[in-house]
Amino acid sequence: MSMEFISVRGPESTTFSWPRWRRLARAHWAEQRSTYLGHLLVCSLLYIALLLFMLGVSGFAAFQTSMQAALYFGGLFLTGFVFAGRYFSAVARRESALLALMRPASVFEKWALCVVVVAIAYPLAYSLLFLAISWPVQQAAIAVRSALEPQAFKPEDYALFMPLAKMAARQAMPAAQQTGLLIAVWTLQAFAVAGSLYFGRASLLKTLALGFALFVSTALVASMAGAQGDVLFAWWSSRRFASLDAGIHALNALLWIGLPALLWLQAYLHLQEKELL
Amino acid sequence: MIAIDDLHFGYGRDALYQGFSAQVRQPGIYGLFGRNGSGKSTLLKLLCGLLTPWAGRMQVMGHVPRQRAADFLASICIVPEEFHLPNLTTAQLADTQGVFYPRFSKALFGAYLDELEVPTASRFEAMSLGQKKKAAIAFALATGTPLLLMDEPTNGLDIVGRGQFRRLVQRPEHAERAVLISTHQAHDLESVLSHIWFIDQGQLALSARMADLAGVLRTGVANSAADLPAQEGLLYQERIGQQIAYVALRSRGDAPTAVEHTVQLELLYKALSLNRDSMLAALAPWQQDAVAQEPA
Repeated sequence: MSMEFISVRGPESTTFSWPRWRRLARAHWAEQRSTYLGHLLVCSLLYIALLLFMLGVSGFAAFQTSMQAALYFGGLFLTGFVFAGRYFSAVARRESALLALMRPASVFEKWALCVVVVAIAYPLAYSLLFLAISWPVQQAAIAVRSALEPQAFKPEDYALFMPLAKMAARQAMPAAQQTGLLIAVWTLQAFAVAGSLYFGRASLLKTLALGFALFVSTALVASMAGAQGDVLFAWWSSRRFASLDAGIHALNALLWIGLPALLWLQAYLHLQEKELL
Repeated sequence: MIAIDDLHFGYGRDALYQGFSAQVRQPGIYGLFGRNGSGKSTLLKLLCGLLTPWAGRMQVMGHVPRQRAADFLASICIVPEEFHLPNLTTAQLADTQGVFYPRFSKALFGAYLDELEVPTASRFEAMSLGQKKKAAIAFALATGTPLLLMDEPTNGLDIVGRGQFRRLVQRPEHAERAVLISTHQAHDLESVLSHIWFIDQGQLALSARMADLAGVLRTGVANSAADLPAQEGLLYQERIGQQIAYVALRSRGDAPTAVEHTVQLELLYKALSLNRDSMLAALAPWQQDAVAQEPA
């Protein structure tokens, strides 16, 4: 007796199929859930430890809105890079690489899931976690500072930093500047993903070293060429209110749109080319 | 199902395959044999699209493997020698991974796990290597993919497990699949193989149906030199204690008896490895006939 298998699904697009992408996301979540929760737990503990140290030393003065913004973006850059660099860690290990590469989904779908998880879901989860820890600390900071300096204390200096929100606080970082920093985070994450797929062993360290070397050499070349920082950041600085010439727009488009797009494309190509040697 | 033509591949500057050609046109269980380093595992990876050939053409289930298209990946399943299972239960594995394969059967997966005595309540991390291997085999069999590749599937299985594996792979639901098994455990699988491929020096040195081989070759053990087949047909012999194991060409009209219907693969493997040229020269006329008779 031979059993006949009957296909229960209709034909799916070779490049992108929504049902297949959902299956991919579900499988990814089932496998990586504990790793991701562990990553967030470690981030929380590090942030709490840092806060305990900073606030203990400064008597809760070091929790002004500008400091919260610096902590938020500093943490996002650092942990976002690590998270992105570890997204394809299964591909770096010989035995698990086979499972990841042979999973029946297109390269584009695997790449798109990476973009969603790394560049959207992670910053969102990080932001929620940041707010969940920062809010009680901010309440405590207000209480302590108002008790210690009842005359000089200004509550608006200790307003809770809300990422990408327009804030009235004097020291708050402008939303446009935050957008620029968020794009810089995505660029760095794309670099980490591409590096983790390109390098075989110790990919995160090698990517970090390469990134550092590229950053230093670019900074050197830029300073020798007399490049002005406010030109490179014109879209996000106060200069955006002045009329910018086409060259500055082109340079900013290249830096803030072209570069991240190119790096994410690079990650796609590395995923496509990945072999199991 | 598989068409490989003039394949060239190697690692670094060392060529492994130089003009390798092979075809799988019909379902069956194909045993892939060859000495260490002959490229059996590499061939499986090339068939999966995990490596890029230097030159030549490869078509697997109508796809170019290296493109790793989603449809292609859903039509092929591989159980590698070094395998990895995510830390899930078997039910979670079926729910999250099985859904990628259109013909995956949860019921069959459960039945295979039962047969192989794999604990279904535990996560894979809590299982022994052998149990994990059994779970990986059960999953691969349950995917129902038209092409199934296995690299040393019986490594890590105990003697009972090897018997269970043989029973499972011969079940009728796999009759329409092509199963390629790379192995050194010739004795484990000789009763289930329908075809054998012998890879040597970057070429497919021998491709034959087991039934045809049994009609052409005689393998056995003689009590003394006087009991050996005639010298002109004798291709290989080795002493085992007081007895002599041999591989010989059958003479015309010497049809295999029911007992002789299976070629002793271990002997054949040794004969091909240690007396390659004479073996291939003796089998060449018959191989040409067999290729001419194969369906296109």
